Amino acid sequence: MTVDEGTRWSIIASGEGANRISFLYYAKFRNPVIGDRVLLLNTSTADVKPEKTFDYILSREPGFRETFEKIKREKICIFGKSPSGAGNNWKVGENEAREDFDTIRRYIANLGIGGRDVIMGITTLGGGTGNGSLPYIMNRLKYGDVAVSPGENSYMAFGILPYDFEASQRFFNTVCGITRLLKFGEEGRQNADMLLLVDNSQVENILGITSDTREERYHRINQEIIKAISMMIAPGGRQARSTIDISDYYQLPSNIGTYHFTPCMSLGNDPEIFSIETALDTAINRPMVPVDPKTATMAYIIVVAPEKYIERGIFSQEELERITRDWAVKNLAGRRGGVLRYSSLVSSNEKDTLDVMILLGGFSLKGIISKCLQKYYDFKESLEVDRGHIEVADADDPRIRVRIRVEDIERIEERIKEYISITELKIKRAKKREIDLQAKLKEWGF
Amino acid sequence: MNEYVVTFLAILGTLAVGFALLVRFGVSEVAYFGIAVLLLAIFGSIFYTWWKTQTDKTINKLKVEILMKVRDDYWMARRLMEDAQDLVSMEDILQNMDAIKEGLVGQKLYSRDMKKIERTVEKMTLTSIEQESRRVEQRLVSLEALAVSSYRPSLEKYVEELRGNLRRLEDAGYTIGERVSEFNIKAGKTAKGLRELIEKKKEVTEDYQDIVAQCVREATELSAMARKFGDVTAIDEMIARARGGGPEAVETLIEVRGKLREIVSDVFARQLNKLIQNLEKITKVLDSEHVAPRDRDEIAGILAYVKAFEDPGLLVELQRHETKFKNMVSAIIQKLDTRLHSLASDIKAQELSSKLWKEDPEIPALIEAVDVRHPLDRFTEASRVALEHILAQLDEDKAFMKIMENYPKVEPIIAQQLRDRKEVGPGDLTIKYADRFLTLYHLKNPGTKLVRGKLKVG
Repeated sequence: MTVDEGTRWSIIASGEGANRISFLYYAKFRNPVIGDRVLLLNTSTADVKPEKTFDYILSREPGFRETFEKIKREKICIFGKSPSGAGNNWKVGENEAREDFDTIRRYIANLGIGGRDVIMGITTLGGGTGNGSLPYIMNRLKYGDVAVSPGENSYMAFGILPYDFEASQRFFNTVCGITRLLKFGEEGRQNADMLLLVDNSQVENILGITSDTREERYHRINQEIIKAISMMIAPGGRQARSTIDISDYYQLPSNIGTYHFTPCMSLGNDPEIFSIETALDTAINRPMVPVDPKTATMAYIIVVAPEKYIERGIFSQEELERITRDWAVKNLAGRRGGVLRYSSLVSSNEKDTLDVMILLGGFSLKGIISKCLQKYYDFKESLEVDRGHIEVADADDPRIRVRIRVEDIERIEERIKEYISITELKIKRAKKREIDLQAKLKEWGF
Repeated sequence: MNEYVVTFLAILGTLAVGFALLVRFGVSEVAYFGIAVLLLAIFGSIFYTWWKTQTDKTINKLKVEILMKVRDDYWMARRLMEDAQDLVSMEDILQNMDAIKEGLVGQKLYSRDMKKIERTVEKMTLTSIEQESRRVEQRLVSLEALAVSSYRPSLEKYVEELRGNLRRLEDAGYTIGERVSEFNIKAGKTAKGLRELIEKKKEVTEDYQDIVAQCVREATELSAMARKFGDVTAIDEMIARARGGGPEAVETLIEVRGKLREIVSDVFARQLNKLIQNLEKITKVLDSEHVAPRDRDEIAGILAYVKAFEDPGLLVELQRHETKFKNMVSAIIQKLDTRLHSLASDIKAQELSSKLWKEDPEIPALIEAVDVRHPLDRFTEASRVALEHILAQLDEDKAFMKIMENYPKVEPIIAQQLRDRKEVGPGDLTIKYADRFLTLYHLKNPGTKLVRGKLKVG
């Protein structure tokens, strides 16, 4: 792959799960647009034995040991003073990041991020370290006096939802994490410019993963997430027939007020057998979170095809535009196929498959919230309120305990409800009947 | 110091010592001294004579060596100048060479034929022989320079003449283009000394003769072919004359070519058209992804090459390309057949291949019918039919492999559509081989029905 002079990306992965994804990227799926700009953040648990985090991948791919040594030396930033990590408590993760922010900032500065680079934060949403620290770090970088390139960098966040079977506190963390990545701080300003959501259970279902080992299941899901990131980067390069630049990804969704997305992918299709239409139909049936596509108001459609097929005219940008218009009308919210749609055909010299990714956005969060809500309340109601605070302690390590203001929890709920309400309003508007053209023309003076 | 002074001083010293002994010890002691001096003088003389003889022998050897070198250099230079005489007269220079020789013989250094060194040289001093050697060497160098200055323009003229002859032969239609280029490279090389110039002349002459011989062979072949279309007796006689080389060979060969061209021009035009038509027929068939681009390019190369033929004298070349075409097509068919066999064994090993894949039973017989010994039209037609069947079978094989390979991805699409609509037709699937995917789905899911190409829930 050739390195373009355009937008550069960097990855900041916080927490154990995100660290695994970043390590896998670094060892196996390196993309020149990201290159070496990868930072793994973790709390002290990993400091004691970082091998533990990457144990499975190292046993699976012994050749990665050298990369691991390099990562351990140069790319891992340990923060916080907690004796055994954040203990599944996002507030601990946030507090630790606040305390050690100078250390974290130094590591980020070493990545060499500049200009209009994209900072892609990755975290699992059920845990404490990443879920707690990433929204805080992102907010400080974006609005604080430590911004990397004030007002110029773009902040993307990749949040990974826990498995359906996981414990209640993970779903409590998830709701808080999603909200804090969407809006943060006293003023509730927009945090991430774009939030991408992926659900472990959903991805496992669409991939048909049947492995018994938890590590192998994570590994397969992580690979899929890395592929999604690569697909997202592809239309920004020189080989795109129609460029989707980073500002295309976040500016209009931010203006609209709904900026959550999920990837739907259909990769590895034989271009001699599959048409783009079929690949799109397959992709839309494989969203990475539980979603009703008919509620999606936005779609970024990225098609990567072997160059020879594009040269022979089998695939073309013009044809893709036509196909995606018909596809959007059929699959997205409203009769006109949502409110925002981009499509880009990217040629590849390296691949001989037809890969399609739809970045579905602005969809109803009902699927995700209904998956979390029961366990969210189960956990929340189990907490004791003491003078306007609730104390959350780690069941495995009683040393880890933290107090959260009830007011903060209420604010989080308020914000996510507010965001949901905007989303639902936009969906409703997209589904609205056509305007009365004659009346409107008259109104416009015709 | 002068040897006479030394001797005088030695005698004076001896007499002084003798006188001192006489004064100091008396006459008897001086007698012993005198005898000792005498003995010393005798042994000294013997030793001196022996030493002197040895030294003279070494000097004589040296003299002989110098004279041998002078002799060899002389004869070598003379031979070169004699060799150079085939292009330009070297009479004056050879006369000078004779003068050198006579001078050396006159000094009694060599025998009359200047082959042997005379014994009299022993009497000459080494210095005088060395001086003579240097003088001869200088004269040989200046004579060679003189020879080069008169030989070089003649050689250039000679090379240009050969070049002109070759150009005319090439213009006459002989296919000697590559050889002429090689000749020109050699002819363009610079040579400095006489030896290099003579070597160059030898090389270009040999190359030239080879090329002319090639033209003779070409004319012979063309004449043998033209015999079927006209009387070539006189032409054969001309070729025989040209075969001996000689100055008129080029003219003869040009004339021969012209006469043969007249005889074969009709047949050449017919054969050229025929070959082009046959090449185009096969080129069309080979336009398939199963044919290696290199193979296609080679056939296209022949077509482009023969399309440029205008000279009927290229009839032999035309026939050579016809043979090349046949061999190439035959090789392509063999290659494709090998692939067919390997694919067939892979496919037969797969489940359901008997229901989804068909093998063309005619192919072995069609390949058998392709024979390079057959006339061109018959060969091409057999090849075309065989290739069409083989390529269709390869399409079939590829389709089967693709269907099996992609079924895991297509299966959920069909299943989804069946769930949604209870019925799926090929038109509902925007994929290649949709009908065959539906058949495979039906075979794998006995609960479904396939009615007139449409898959239904059973």
